Amino acid sequence: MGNRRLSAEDREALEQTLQRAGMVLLSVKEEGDPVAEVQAPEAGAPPAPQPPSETALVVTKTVRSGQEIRHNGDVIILGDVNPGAVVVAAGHIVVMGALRGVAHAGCTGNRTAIVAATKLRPTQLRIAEVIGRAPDGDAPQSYPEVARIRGDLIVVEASADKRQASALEAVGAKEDR
Amino acid sequence: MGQVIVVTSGKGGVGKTTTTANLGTALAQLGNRVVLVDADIGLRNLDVVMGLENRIVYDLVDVVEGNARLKQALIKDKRNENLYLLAAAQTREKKDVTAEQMKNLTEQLAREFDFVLLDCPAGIEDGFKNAIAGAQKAIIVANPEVSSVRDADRVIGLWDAQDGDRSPAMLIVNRVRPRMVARGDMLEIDDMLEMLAVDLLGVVPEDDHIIVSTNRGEPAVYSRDSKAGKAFQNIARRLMGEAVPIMDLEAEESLWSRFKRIVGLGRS
Repeated sequence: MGNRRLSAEDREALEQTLQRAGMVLLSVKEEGDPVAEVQAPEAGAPPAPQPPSETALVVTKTVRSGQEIRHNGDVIILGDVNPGAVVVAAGHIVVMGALRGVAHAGCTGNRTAIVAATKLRPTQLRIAEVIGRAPDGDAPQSYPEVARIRGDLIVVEASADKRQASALEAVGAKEDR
Repeated sequence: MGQVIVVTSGKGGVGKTTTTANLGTALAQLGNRVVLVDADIGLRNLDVVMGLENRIVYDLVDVVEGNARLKQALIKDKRNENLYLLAAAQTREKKDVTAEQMKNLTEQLAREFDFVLLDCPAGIEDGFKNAIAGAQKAIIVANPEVSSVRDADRVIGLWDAQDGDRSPAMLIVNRVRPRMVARGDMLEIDDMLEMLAVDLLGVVPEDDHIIVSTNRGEPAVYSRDSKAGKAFQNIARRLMGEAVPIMDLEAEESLWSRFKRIVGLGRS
């Protein structure tokens, strides 16, 4: 835990996970200190639209409460995302660890973006403009799961066996209707 | 050069001051030269817990402002001659001290003492930033409850983000009630460690002795039958590099309650 480096095995495991999710690992940008990527949250402002970059950001550290990772492409985290932490990506978000904080994939409007995690227990999930949370009292699964948009809902399914799909509760606009 | 260790938590009321007082006393009992620094300027407590309130003449702010020499401001403990206290100013504010001043102060203290323990104020604002400025090690105190763990996580993140030569944070889980943990009403220590991803320095049980000793100004490590005091003594030995196994609170508890049940005193 804590500091992690991307070894050859890690990279291979990562490539396989991404492949299953329909992605190809283009390049790995290793950051010595991922904290450098952490920005102070802007007061309620949506992420500024920027041209998506092609590189995936690899964070080799646990993202802790109060820290925020923002990236204009895919984000891969080798570590946990703890409650109170936020990960926002224009592309996909893959967490090789427990995702317990808030993740927002496809923040610039990409509804095909996914959020995948070894342990998917987010406080809240957002993909494009859709916001979801786990149903209250929902027992967390111990296998890797992938969240994506189906229809107007975020649906979570096992990354290997797609039959065990379950819909998240809608949060915000949809709930008010 | 001695070690400069900050005792911090983010959340208030989890036992930072109690930990600083007991750990410092235990380290001094083991023959180390120890100074406790109360970094909670404006809300000082450590002097009260140590029973040294009436001996304060000069405080930390007097030293950094040059009104007193460091030697004049150090208060010798009434029981242990290896132990000293540098009190916080009560009539001043956190912003009266800068991080740079704190760094210089702790450097000076580290030359004279084996251990410099900084009692950090709650929160993550200026007082916290000043307290961690000169520390190489951090002890995070957390209670086995969700809000405390959340704040501990935040503080560990801030500690990691500091530059300079710093060791990874160490965790003390304080105020553990083994029976509640066994019933599943309290967070498991393993779950806390999994989330916080830091090394466990010690586990301290909830103990009525602490309240008594705090009010009396006599750290619990002096009390022979205080379990918390024993836990702090173990932590002190671990800080000195000794491998002391973590106390198995659950085993002790169940044995004790079983004994009570046998003799007909048991409530459970």
